[in-house]
Amino acid sequence: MAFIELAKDPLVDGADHDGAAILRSLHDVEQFGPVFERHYEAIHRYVARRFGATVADDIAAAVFGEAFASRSRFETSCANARPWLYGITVNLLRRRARQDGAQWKAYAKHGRDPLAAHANPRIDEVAVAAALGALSADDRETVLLFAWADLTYDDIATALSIPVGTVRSRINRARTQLRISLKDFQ
Amino acid sequence: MSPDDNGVNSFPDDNGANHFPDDLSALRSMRSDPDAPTDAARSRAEKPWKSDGSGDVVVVDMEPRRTKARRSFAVRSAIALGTAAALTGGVFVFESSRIDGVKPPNTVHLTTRPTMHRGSALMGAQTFLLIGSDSRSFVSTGEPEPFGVSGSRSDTVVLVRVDPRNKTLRVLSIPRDLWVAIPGHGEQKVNAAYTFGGAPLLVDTIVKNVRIAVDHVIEADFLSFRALVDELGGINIGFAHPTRDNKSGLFEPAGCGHLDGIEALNYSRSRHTEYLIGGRWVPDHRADLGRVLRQQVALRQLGARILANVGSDPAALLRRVLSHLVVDDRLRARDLLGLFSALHSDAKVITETFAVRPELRGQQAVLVSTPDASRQIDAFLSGRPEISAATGPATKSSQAIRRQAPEGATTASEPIQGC
Repeated sequence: MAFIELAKDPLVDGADHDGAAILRSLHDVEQFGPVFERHYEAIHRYVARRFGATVADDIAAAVFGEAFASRSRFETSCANARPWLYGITVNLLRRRARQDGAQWKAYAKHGRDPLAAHANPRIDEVAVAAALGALSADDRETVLLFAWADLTYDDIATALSIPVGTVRSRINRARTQLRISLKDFQ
Repeated sequence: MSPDDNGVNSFPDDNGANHFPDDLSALRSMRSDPDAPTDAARSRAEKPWKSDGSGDVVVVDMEPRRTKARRSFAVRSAIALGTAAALTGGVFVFESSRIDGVKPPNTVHLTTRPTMHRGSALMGAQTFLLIGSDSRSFVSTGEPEPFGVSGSRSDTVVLVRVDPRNKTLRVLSIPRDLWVAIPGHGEQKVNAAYTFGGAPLLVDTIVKNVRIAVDHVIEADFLSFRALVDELGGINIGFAHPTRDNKSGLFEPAGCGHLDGIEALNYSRSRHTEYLIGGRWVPDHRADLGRVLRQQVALRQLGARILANVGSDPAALLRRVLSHLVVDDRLRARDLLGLFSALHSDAKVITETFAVRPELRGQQAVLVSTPDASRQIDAFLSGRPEISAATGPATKSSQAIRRQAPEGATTASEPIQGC
């Protein structure tokens, strides 16, 4: 008995424990509801900012559909499903996100937010857009999960299934690009 | 975004760059106001897990047009779902006909069958006996045979119990030097049972001595283990310290290691493991027990690797995996799939090594079970984790064995998080 690995029992954990809810949902599908309630808005908001509200409606629905279908793979000792849900989101957005650079470049060139979130963007937004446009799709996704979705480095590593060191280097690269771009526009 | 900075050009004033927003706040300021999703979007999103009343899972096809990559993701989801259903006793929704069409090519017939055998992963808990043997024919290194026996010995004996009711997976390793009564052969080390009578006699011996009924047997030898790992593209194992075993040929630097078949075999076989701690090589005094721990690590990584390889054609994967193994003739492919899924980290995993203390039997240093062992067996069969917790700290003897282990070495063989 030299090595005992005892996971915390999710069934006795509190009501806001996503792992517990997901575990219960394996028997009773309605138990998935609280997970949806806790995270739907955050996922929707993130996708809406990236690709617009119409896309966000569809993608957010698809994210929770996938999440539900693959919920048996969720690590049920984990209290917070949000990084996992962002991981699914990023997967669903992957094709779109590869073309995302062009959209930001256009923003920087024309000084107009293609999603018209801000009608009259500030000059530093144009700088940010230029920097975002210049980033690789991976670096862009990573820094936006950090800045817009408020995930921690560890959460991002979980969401993207990459080592936390890679998260760190991607964010460093992105922020360097941002600083250069902000200086240029200054 | 607050109204007052909407549309305001926030050029820095003449004081220069100090007032210019830092790169992150510039980026954060572009985060839009929360676009509250519409009720229509919300209700559309809720559909996928609306129950049809039966309590069984309803799978909703999210997107009618699918690329190849998406299809394989969907199939993977379907497997996960099927396993979940199997684990929860629900309806097995996975393409069961194709999976059931997979017939194991190498089988062995067991003479002892558990009286309570239910024969199906859908019904209840199952106990698998995993045997790693050192078949003579496969040892290419010319290693001398210690006893002049021509048969193969069971190097590794692991009991795995998958219990869908408790969502637990219990792993109980049987030390190969455990002193037991082998039916028809008197008292011997447990690995002798395999030499005398192969898997069937080993099962009889386990049932008689450990009193755990065995539902299924899965055997691999050195060569097939190596081929299986290579077939799966290697396994990942984390090392807290640089680790070597000059006898088995293991050498791994610290960190996350990607091991191919031969490296994984060297890792799993290693009995003379040494860790580089503070500039010198410190042996792992746990000897065989340390090896058992490493085997448990390798086993879990193997399970994870098999699941990661499932891809779009699980039947083909199962055929490939089964071609390297010998299994009992009642094992069905879906039992195997259930085991692999459970080895993956979804279920709660409780890993133990049979409670033993060293003793001398004539000239032989052997291990005999301690009173804790019977509580371990009860816990293993009931699947109740609290019983295991109640056995509390390690037995005296295993504590003694642990104390001999160098500082830091206890965790050295266990996987590093995120590896």
